[in-house]
Order: sequence, then structure tokens, then C-alpha cells
Amino acid sequence: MFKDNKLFHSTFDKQIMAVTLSSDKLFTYVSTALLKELEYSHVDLLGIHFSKILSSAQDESDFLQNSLKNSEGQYTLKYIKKSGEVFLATTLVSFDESQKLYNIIFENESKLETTPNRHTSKKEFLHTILDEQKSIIVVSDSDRLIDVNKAFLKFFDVPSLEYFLNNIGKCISSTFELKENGNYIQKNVFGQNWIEYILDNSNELHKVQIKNKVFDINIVKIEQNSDEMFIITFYDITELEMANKYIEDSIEYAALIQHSLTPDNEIFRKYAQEYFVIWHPKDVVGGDIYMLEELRHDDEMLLFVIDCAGHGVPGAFVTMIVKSIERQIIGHILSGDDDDEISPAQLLGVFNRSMKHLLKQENKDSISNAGFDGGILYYNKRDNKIIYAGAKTPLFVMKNGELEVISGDRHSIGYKRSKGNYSFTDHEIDIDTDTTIYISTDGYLDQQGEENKMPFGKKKVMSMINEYWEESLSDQQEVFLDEFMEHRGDRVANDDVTMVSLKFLVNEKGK
Amino acid sequence: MASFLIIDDSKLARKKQIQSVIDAGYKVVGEAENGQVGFDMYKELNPDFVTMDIEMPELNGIETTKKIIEFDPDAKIIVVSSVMNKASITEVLNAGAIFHLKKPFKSELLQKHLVRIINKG
Repeated sequence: MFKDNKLFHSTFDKQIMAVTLSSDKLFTYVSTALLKELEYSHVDLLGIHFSKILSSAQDESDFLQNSLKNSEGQYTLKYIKKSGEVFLATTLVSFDESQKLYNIIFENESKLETTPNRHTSKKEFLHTILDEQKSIIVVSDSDRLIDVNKAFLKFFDVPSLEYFLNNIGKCISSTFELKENGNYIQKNVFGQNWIEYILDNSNELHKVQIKNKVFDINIVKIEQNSDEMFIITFYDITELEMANKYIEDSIEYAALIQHSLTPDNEIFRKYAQEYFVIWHPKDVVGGDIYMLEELRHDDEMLLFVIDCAGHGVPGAFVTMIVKSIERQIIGHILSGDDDDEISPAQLLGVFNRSMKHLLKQENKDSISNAGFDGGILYYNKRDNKIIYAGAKTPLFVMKNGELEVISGDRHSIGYKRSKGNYSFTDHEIDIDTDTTIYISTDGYLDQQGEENKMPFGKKKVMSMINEYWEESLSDQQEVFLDEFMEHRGDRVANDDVTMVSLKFLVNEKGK
Repeated sequence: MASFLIIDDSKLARKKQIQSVIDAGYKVVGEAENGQVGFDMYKELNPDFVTMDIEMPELNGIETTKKIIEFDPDAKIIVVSSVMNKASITEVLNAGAIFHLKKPFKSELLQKHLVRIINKG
């Protein structure tokens, strides 16, 4: 009767006591509901012979030899629980399409005894089971409701299915509420009937809103007398949806705050003929951050590309600490003398000590262990030079077709293991109109490939720069994105990804 | 047959999008390398759909979307951009764009969305 065992199992696992047996009567599936009743676990039964749960040799012999011989039917049998307690269950046997697997549904007789109208047919037996479910369950031929359970009647506050058909609609889809956001199912989805759409996309979660309640829909296709029918279950997930929405809204708002920390495009244009920024947090918020700050006059700026510990919400918290230290550093520079030299290496040292101090990571017993890797680049248009210092973050410099890679120090910022008095190294580089720099966090360089699981790698980045350096940075950005996607394939991103590239606006007089 | 105008400052991005539009069975009536040129072409060509980058010189995708919608409130603009900034995406959708597709993307994905959007009307 059930053509698709997988769907049947996933839909009714917790609600209906059922098993599937192989042709040699071994358990291949036992529903959670039956395990609970029998007090067994999956390990106790899967691969074991069906007779293990039959209470007597008589039952075993009768049932296995007479009943399970290619004939579907309904039987009343005694079963034995793990504790030794016996329970009587009405047992409905059917076969899968291949006629090789037995699907068996049980109903505890003690519950049936209280039912006034004792069922006599397979249809009535199934209907009794459906009536006991808390979720709304309907049977439909895709256009019209054929049967519904008690939960349906109670939810719609109608006395019978006939009343619903005459006064509300032929199909439950006439009650689906229109929702603009959130991919809610409507009567027609992209021109397709909703039942067909859900069956075609069975791996996805399908939500619908009815009378302000949100339901997850599961559909099982069945065939009876060559007619196609659908058993459709509506699980009430309203509370879960509300909790999800609350969390999503909070994180979305946090994302707006985090995004407000990144610089406006106009500021890049002041210092760059061309530029691009790839900033793709792995989650809604992330641990990567980039900042660009104008300093004491229009000619000088500082660029920070930072990869904080972790990603998601914890990573985002660390970026806020980094931003606050960065503001203090910028404030200190702005209040200083115009002639004071700026040293990115010293600034990394300030970050290192401040992070350790703020997060109380100056000793090994500290609970937290957060920090970052990253690079700071200082640019002064007046003398056409850049100074770079990196903490485990390389700088790629392409100048007139010659690519230089400045590796940066092999020392992170702020972590417990980081030395508070570590001295970072400044690298001074003369630039001209053809100089382009690239700074990337390790999310780009270390992304595992879909096929070989190898990291994208620094060599690949160098080869792309060597091949495309004469193209516009807009085109280079496309190449960097497409090659990265090609490498990653359908694999989930390992980490947040950030890459910043600038082709400098230089002072022609100073050249 | 639905007609498209492609606005993106990257010629590689334009090439990829043009191919996706053609492979999906639609036609491209023009391509523009920045928002200002794109807006001028929109007025002249009156395409059924526009694909729009956000980060562009001269006039960015947000401002261009606003200008096009002001000129033609029924314009159908699909944003195709690597920008992940929530504020920018919200602003361009509020300005009247109907959909945002994040770069990088597989060509088949853009085609799938185009067919879906066009069938939806």
C-alpha cells in the first residue's frame, strides 16, 4: 500500500507503531512509537527476527507460516515487551511495491477496547489510527479531500468532512494563508500543484500557515485499486517558528550593526583608482572584519583586514572588541603630532596587548582564548609608499608584472599563547600607478575543495594574480569569486571569507 | 520573448550573465558597464528585465535602481552582486528590485531563477 517506505517512515515514525520486515522476516525498520511501547531500542531489534517480539511459539508459527505468505490482512496477536509484559495488538500487514518487504502496523488492543465502534475493515483500522494522532492528517486525491482525522475537525471547528467540503472548500489548500516572506506553500507553487511540488522537493522543509498557525507538511503517496491518493500530515510548528524568528531577527539586527562597522565605498575611492572587497561571512554575522580609516590629512589612511577567532556570533563579538580598540588607536593618532610616524607593526603590538588585557588572557589559566590574525596597511599618498605588518596574514603586491608576497610575522594577536611583548615587523614598499595589493583572510586561502578536500592555497592565488593582473579589478574580483566557487563546489564554506584589493591612486609629483 | 539589459562593471560578469540569459531562452538587448550608462540604455531600450550589480563606478546599483523605478515604476530589476551588506541589499530591494542573487553563482542557478521569475509574471 505504501509505495515509498522512506517517506512513510519519516512521516509517521513517532506517531504510528510500525515495522518493516525483509523477506526473511528480519527487522529493517522499527518505528520510534513501537520501540517506546515495547521498551526496546533500535539496536535491540534491527536485523533481528520478527519472532523476538511475538509472545508464544503458537503465535509465531501461525503468523509467520500462514499470515505472512503474500497475503495482506489484519490479525490480532500477542506481543511481548522487553520487560516481559504481554500486550495484545491488532496487526495490519501490507507489502511494498516489490512484494519483498512487509510493512506491519500495530495498534494496542487495550486502546481499541474503549472505542465504541470497533473497526472491522482495513480502512476503518487505518482511520482509527489516524484519529488518535494529535497532528492534522488528511487523505486527498490531490484535488479533493477524501478523509480527515479528528484533529482536522477540531482545528477547523467543523462537525464533519462533508460540512467542510460544503462550506469551506474541496481541498485544505483553500485555507492556506498568503505569506509574503518565508517560502510558505500556497495552493500553486511556481505554477505547480502544491502536493506535486512538495513531493518533487521532498528534501526541503515545507511550511504553510492556516488560521495563524504554522505547519510543517509531509506527504505520503499511496495507491489503492490503481488510484493515487495522498496522506498528508500537518505538524504544528508555530512555537518553533516563533522561537526561530526571534533568534533570526536578533541575528539579522546584529548583522546590520556589524555591517555598519565596514567603511563606505567613497573612502576607498579617495585612495584607489580601482578596488574590490569580497566580504562573505560564513553565517549571517562573522568573525572577519575590514576597516579603512582616514588619518590626520586626506593623503594618509590605514587599512585593516582582520580574521577574528571563530565565526558566527562568537566571532562577531570579537570583531566588536577589535573595532573598539581600533577606534582608540585612531583617536590616539589623530590627537598626536602630524609628523609622528605610523608603524603598522607597533599597532599590531597595541592590539596584541589590548586584546590580552581586555579578555584577561595574560595568563594560562584564563577561561577565554580569543584573538585574531590579520594585516594592517598604512598608505601615504605624499611619498607614494605603503607600510605593511601582518600577523599570520600575507600581503600580495603586484607591481609592473612582478608579484611579491610579504608573509607577515608568524605570530597571532591576543591569544593566550601570544607573547604580550612580541615585536611585529614593518615592511615598506614603494608604489606607483601600476601597483595593486591583495590581502586575504585564511577563509579564502584554506577553503577545502569539493573533490580533493585540499585548501585553495596561496599558490593558486599567486597564479591567478599573475594571470589576470592586467585586467580591471572588477574582472579580477569575478575571477577570484568564480575560481573560489569552482574549487569549493557544493561544500559548505569552512570559514568567513574576506579579500580586499586596491590599485592605488598615487601622487604623480612624488613619482 | 523576454528581453534583458545587463548592468555590471565587470565585462566577465556581463559575459556570464548574457550567456545565462541566452541559455534560458531569452534575449539580451543591451549591456552597460556602469549605472549611468545603464539608466540611459534602459530609457532607450525599455527591456522587460534588468540584471544589476551594486558596486559600480559613476552610479552604483542602488542609485541606478532608484532612478529606473522613478522613470518606470513597473521595471523588473534583478540584483546580481557579491555585496553581502544587509543595509545595501535591503536598500536596493526597498528601492524596487524584485530579487537578489549573490555572486558567485552557477550559471544554471541564474537561469533557474530567471525562468521562475518570468513564469511568476
